[in-house]
Amino acid sequence: MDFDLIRVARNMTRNLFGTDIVANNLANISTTGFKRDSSFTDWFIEAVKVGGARRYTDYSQGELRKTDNPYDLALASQGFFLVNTSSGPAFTRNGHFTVNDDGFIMTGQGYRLMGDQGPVSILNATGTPGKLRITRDGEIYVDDILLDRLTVVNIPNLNSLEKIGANMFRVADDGLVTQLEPEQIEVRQGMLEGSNVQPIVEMVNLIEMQRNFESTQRVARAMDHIMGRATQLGDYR
Amino acid sequence: MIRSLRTAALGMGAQQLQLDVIANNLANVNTTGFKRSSVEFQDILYETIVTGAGEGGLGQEKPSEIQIGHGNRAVSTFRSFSQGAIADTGNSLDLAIDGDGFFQLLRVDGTFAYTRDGSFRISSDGFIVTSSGLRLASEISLPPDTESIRIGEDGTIAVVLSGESTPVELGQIEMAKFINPAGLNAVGGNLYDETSASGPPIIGFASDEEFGAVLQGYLEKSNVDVVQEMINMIVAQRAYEINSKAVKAADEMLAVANNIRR
Repeated sequence: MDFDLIRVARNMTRNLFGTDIVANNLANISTTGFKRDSSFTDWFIEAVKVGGARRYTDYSQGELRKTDNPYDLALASQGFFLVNTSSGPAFTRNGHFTVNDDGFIMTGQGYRLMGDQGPVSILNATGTPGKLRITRDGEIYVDDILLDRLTVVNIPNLNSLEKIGANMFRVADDGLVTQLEPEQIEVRQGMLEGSNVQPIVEMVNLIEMQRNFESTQRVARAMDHIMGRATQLGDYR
Repeated sequence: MIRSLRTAALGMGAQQLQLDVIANNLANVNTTGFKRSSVEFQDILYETIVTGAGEGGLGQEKPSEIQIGHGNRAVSTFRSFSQGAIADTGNSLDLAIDGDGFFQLLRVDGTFAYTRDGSFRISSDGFIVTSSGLRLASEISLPPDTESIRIGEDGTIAVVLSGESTPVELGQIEMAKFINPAGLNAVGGNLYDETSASGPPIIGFASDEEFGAVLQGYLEKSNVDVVQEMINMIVAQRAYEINSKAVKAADEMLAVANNIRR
């Protein structure tokens, strides 16, 4: 018997994983700064014989929406905001920030947004909260006084990025992180970047994986059927 | 498989929450001083299925591992304190704040509450109170023979007593503002409580630097934009629908898997 039932089973498992990824993309259709993961069908054909698998996150720009909240920032260019977490620096494109009671700008989890000279604060010279203005090239003004510049980093090898939840990314140990120059970035204050999940693409992927799963199941049944016949060969009367 | 069922269910739950918030915004479209909320979502933990270490089957190094997410969850509801429209009421005790700041109110137990709803009344003992009976923290009481009341843009209260023509100044309404108003805790009745997230109140007077002006005879309407809320509702409903499709697909695939063996 030369039927490769294992391979058939692996194919079905992959399609199940793929549905998990599509389900995650769809669940995050309203998540600010979310970047979709591509489903397995993209590499299915080339990978069917090899055990290896490849994750691919699509870092294309999400659409910008206006919020008029001065602490909402969106990147209309490449790059990531730098935030300081308890376990080191993390990167995000979710620019929905708030201010804590010390006047520092932070994420929903309480991680501080970093500028070139440390955490970004909205306190003015007298120690009271001032009016924050961030220019397109990332200059931070509080009450019209230039205080700092927003750190926007670039990760040349996007494959070294790893999602750690809460809209944040981390870079693997050997990953290179560089800082972008003012002319390379475009910061929009009072806007947020939406998720880059496209419902139609996800639906098409979902249908494709479901049908692929179904047809592979038929192959498995056919193999089962033939093998069943083969084992009855001896039962002749 | 169970993973994608749960992931899609989380996605549906998130859209339900979104709809709850939109419904509350729309219900309060005519509430004086109401500030609309929105929900912010984030993705949750990723599970690494195959580690990045090692080589792929063709001998090349795999660039990265397979990470599968587990859906999303709401991280916060964000209250937008943008200015609401200011409507003329002609009532001398209706006050609107044009700009930043809150009225500071005193509860019976001595704690403070904060509001942007400036529809005030006079209590039987002459104090300026909200429609639910909370006193302004400045505790200015009006003499019984008050004929008319005039409140300046800086919150100064002056009254004309009966039989007199010159106004008497009684005091100035104190205002509060917060470093992070989005961190205030809404307790209903158009009132907010300070929290550690909002920071302590910064007390000042209206029309001071960074404080808005008090407008007598006006009320601040809610800042709910009906069209925007309707659009958000459509988006939430469609997102809910598409997540339900993922549930259906996962269910059907499970049924197919169960049918491999007849």
